[in-house]
Amino acid sequence: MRSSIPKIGKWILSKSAYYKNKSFIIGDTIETYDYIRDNNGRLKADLWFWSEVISSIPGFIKNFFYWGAIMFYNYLKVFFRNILRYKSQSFINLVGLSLGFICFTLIAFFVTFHFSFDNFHKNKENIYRLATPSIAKIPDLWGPSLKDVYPEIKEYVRLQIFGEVLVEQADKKFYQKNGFYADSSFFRVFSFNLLKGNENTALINPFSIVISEELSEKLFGNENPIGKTLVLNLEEGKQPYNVTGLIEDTPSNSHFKYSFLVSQSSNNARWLNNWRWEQFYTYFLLQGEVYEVELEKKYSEWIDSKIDDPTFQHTIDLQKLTDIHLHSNLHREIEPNQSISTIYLFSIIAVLILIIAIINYINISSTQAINRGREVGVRKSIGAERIQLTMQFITESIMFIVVVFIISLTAVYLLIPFVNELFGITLIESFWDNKLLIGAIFLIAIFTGLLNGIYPSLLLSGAMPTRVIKGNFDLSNKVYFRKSMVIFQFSISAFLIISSMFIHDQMKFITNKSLGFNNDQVISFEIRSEAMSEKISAFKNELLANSNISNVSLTANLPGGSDWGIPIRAEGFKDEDVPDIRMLVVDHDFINNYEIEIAQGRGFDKNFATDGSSYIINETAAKAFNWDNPLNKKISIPAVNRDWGEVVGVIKDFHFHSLHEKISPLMLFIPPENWFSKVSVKVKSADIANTLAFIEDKWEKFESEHPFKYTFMDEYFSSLYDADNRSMKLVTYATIIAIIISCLGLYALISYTISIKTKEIGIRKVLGAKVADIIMLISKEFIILLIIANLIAWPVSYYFVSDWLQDYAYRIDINMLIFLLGSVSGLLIAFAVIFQKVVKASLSNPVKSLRTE
Amino acid sequence: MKFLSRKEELVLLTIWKLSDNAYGVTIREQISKTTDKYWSIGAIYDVLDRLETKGMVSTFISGPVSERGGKAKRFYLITKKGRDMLMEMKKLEESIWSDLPQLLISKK
Repeated sequence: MRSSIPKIGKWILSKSAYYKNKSFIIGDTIETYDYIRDNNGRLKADLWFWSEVISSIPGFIKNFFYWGAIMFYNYLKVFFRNILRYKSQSFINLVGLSLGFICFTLIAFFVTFHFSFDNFHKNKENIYRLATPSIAKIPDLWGPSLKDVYPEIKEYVRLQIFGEVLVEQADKKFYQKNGFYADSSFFRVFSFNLLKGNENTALINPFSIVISEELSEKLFGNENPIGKTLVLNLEEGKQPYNVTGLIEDTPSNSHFKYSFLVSQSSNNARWLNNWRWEQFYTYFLLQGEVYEVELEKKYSEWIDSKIDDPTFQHTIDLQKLTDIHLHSNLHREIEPNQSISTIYLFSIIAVLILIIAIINYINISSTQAINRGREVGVRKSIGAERIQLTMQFITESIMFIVVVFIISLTAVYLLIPFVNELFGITLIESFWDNKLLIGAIFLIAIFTGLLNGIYPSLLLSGAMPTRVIKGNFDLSNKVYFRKSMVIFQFSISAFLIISSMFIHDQMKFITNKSLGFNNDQVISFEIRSEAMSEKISAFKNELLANSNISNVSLTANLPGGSDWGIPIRAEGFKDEDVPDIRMLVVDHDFINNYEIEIAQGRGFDKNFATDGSSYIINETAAKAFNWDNPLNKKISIPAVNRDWGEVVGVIKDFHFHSLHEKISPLMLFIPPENWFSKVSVKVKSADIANTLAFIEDKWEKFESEHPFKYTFMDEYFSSLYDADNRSMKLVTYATIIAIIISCLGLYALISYTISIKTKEIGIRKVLGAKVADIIMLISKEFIILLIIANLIAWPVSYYFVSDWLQDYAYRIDINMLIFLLGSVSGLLIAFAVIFQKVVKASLSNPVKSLRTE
Repeated sequence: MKFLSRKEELVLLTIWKLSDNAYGVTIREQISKTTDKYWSIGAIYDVLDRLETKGMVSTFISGPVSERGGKAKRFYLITKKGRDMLMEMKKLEESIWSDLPQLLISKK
């Protein structure tokens, strides 16, 4: 008679630990089931059967955990024994993998930090900054007038940089940066927390000021600042401000940092009520569906129709708030932004390092696993199933990886302050803020553990126990896998070495490249009050009386990024065809002061009374205007009421921006005296301290209100490359770590190779092989692998480096020698690592090695 | 000497009683009938396994039987040790029973 118990039930029974391998119990069940069915009917039988199945479940679970715990204890014991037995390999594994994870985690923190910019705003999806394709600011009238016309614009807020200002309160007096004029809609658009004060009214009345916690602490200590008064000592005189709000310090992942906000109604700058003067960072809070391209077109056309001037065509770019930090690189950004390509570079490096570390780990553990063939054989022959062996290996590698994870996390926790210092940022406010990232890294770790556990267990548990137990089980068919891993790993190392050498070279090139002018020993400072401005010539003359001061020039702006761009008219050009030109507004002494060379014509000369209306252009401008002989050509600047004047000279090109940018057309002209706002003083190298004291002394004579504050121009110029230098540091560290990890792996592999070749070496030596032959024999394989790795790395690095160099307008040539140098140095390091091992093996006494077994 | 539990004693006695026909199904039937309680297969085998480890029973496996879906039967036989144990327990109980005094039953 055919048995008729339900199939699923039978399956459950056969799976349950209690009934496992006891087919007679299933037999009993069937017999009883049939009996009940024949006497009491099928329903009763089924009921009985299922109650049996269900009642067996608790026992099943108990057994599972009981035996699970026992086996776990055994695995744990074996795990520690193995660690202790292969101390050096375990140590290498631990260090290598931890290094990899530390590096990866730190860079991941760094990268996520940059991606988190401006994410804290509630309206982040709907906030857009208006900019033109070249400059981040727009005139003040654009924002409000667009809002009046277009209903999708819910709010606008305009920020104007306040500049460095002298803050006075009671007996305190200091320069404060990072101030902004802001519209009262500031708090409706952005989500910064106003800790005290009223969000709706804080920025309405003239001469209201909202200060950050930090500034409040500096001014008022722990007192409530609301209602207090502080004085801003501006160029046009002192102005008391009423504190109407206390705002949280800017989160470190905001694309602009404020220390105070001043109501827009206090602003009385020259460029107010203007359609053309680009001075305001303007943000829109939009509502409804946003089609950027469409809006850009609509707004641009509207603005053009409003200005109605063919020389002044404008395109508006809508930049999404959250894209500004990584994707915007315009003139006059509030702060230098991070370029997305650097972030990608860092991400790639992080992933590569992690891959190297994981490959290492898997490689070393798989060689280690072979040593355990005997254990696996014994386990198999006393009845361990394949799944159990796999579980054992997985348990072990997961335990290992958890240890690595804990070590790495601790290290990262301790290292973060240093990283913050190195990059001048606050990566995270508190370590546990970024739970998601830590969780993700934990998952990667666990996945690595799984991968690492599965690989050797598949090799070993699949093999015949008789072969494994003899201990002569070798992975000869898997050797290709391991070899290709070594190649992969060293390709990455070689790639990093070569790339970092190029990055290094490029940085050296940039810092050493002649800028075309000389800013050594030039100090600059600002004219801070009208009183000073009126007497500036007298001040200049007094400075020149000191024999250690060789030159003083007065300017309205300075090289290094603060040049102006105003539309001009030029002889022979229709207004709309005049090329864009930048301008430095200088005095007669500027060209001499910065040692700029003259290519044609002459510099400004006090002997020519007309020089106040004449112009000097650079060679690039001459080319842009396509003037064969630029001298005596005429230029005018109607926007600032300058009439036609002649070009009197052409200066050689010099880098008035960082070397990231190409030299653009430039013109110099001399303005009315009251335009000057900056003083550049060239001092002689002898006795600088005294000279500075002298300048300060003179300063105080003319300027009682403002303390003296100066910068060295060469320091300022090198600060333009801060971001590059930081990238270089990071790439260098990453390269070093990658090399360390790869070499650890290589060391472990060579140790393994030698240990299985001990006997071969012994026999060869007995038969008369020389030490050199043995060294060659062992190293040969690795040399070939390393050379292949380098050959793979070359084209990849070439591609990467040439792409990276595109960021620089002035860059080094890709020199093949560097490829060779990088590879050779990588190979040398690798040899240094394996050499000692190999030499030791080849010098060993063959008698000893032959005795092993 | 460690005595058997009540369950073990019952199962062991049942095996004795069933003599050469003691296997899972019959043991369960018999014991359910005598105790008038439901015994699951698991419960029976739990006790049988314990008796086996204690050496009170020995087992042998029959050939496959067709009406059991082709599964074998596992027969149980009581060992000498098992029988001695039962006798010992019986003796102990009887000795306790034999000299019990008149029972005073509390009214409440």
